[in-house]
Amino acid sequence: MSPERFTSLLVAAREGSEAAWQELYNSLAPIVLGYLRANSAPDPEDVLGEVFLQVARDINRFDGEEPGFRSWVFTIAHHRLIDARRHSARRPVELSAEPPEPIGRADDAAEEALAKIGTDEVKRVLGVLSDEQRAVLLLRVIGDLSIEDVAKAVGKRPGAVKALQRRGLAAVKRELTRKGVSL
Amino acid sequence: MSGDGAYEGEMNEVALFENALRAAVPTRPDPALGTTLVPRLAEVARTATIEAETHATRRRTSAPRSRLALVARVGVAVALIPLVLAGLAFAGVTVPGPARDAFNTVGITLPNQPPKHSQASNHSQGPSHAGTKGTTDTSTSDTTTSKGNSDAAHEHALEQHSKAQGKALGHDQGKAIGLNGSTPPGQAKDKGQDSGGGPPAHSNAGGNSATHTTPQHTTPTTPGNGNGNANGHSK
Repeated sequence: MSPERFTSLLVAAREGSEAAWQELYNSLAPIVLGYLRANSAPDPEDVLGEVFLQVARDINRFDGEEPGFRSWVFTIAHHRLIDARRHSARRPVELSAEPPEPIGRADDAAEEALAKIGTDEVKRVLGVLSDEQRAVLLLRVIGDLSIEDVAKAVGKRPGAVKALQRRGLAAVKRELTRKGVSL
Repeated sequence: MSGDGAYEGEMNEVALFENALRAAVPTRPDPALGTTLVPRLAEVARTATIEAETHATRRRTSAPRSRLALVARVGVAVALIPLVLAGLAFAGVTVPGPARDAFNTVGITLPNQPPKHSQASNHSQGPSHAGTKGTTDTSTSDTTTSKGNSDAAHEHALEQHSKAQGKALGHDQGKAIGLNGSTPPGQAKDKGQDSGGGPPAHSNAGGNSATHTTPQHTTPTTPGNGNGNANGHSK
């Protein structure tokens, strides 16, 4: 999306244009929901709704380009994820074991099966990471956030984020080597 | 994303994982969620924008009012100063001179305040205890600084000065006549006449000799009873 296009979209969204919000939602909701699911957020779609509601409430305060907006939305998502975890820790609820539905679904059954294997494997590998390592890797890979943006989102220094990323990648590599999995 | 020192092969493996992550993690949310959420998001954003604009306008309009309130506060504080001074005067506190003068100019006499003259004398008495030099200094400074207090201060300074002079004279005389007992003037004169071993003539001559000694008193005195006769003559 060009910067001019994004700016006009932002202005329209501030004025309450449904079309503008539909476009923003369609472009960001899948990756934000994926981030929430991969981090084992309790009731991820509910958290997704809270994330977008906060984005709508605070959109007047945002000023910047598309990458900054994406980073801002992921920062909100990370904070809402922590809130949801705290809330569920106080009042544990039974989570539905509904598997995530990948966007890039294959048309034929063989490719779908391969994609499913890949997804399960990714989930398994992510499971061996600590919460912080997983959050950092997902924000870097899925959210396309810079080290500085991730540091702001998770409330750590850039050096600590780099260390978490390095350790997380090392753990991923170890797990892949141990299982001999090809993705 | 770099592995920061990882080997190329390992990096390839991690890059594959990243690709798998990018493909696997994004998931389609429930379409029903989008249908209900998007109109609500538009409504919330519209309300937030209107609120923000209203808040900004209110802040702009409330700025002059706050300035007026500040001026009023300063005015009240200034008006309180004379009231506090008057209250202190009623309580018996001596208000500084300039403040009293300010009240006097508008025709208000503060209670429990010392009169002007005593204030002036108090001013000049302080340094006069230090000596005669201090007194003259004070009198000159009073004369130059304030016209109203200068007369009283000058009189007082003169009084103090004369007192100090009197003290100094008496002190000097006492020393010269009464205290310098080793060689009093009378004894020095009578030394040649006291050859008979009678009582010395300076026994009570010290204080009087300077003032009352006359040629008539000294000439009839004879050796031997000079002291007794002299006393008798003098009486």
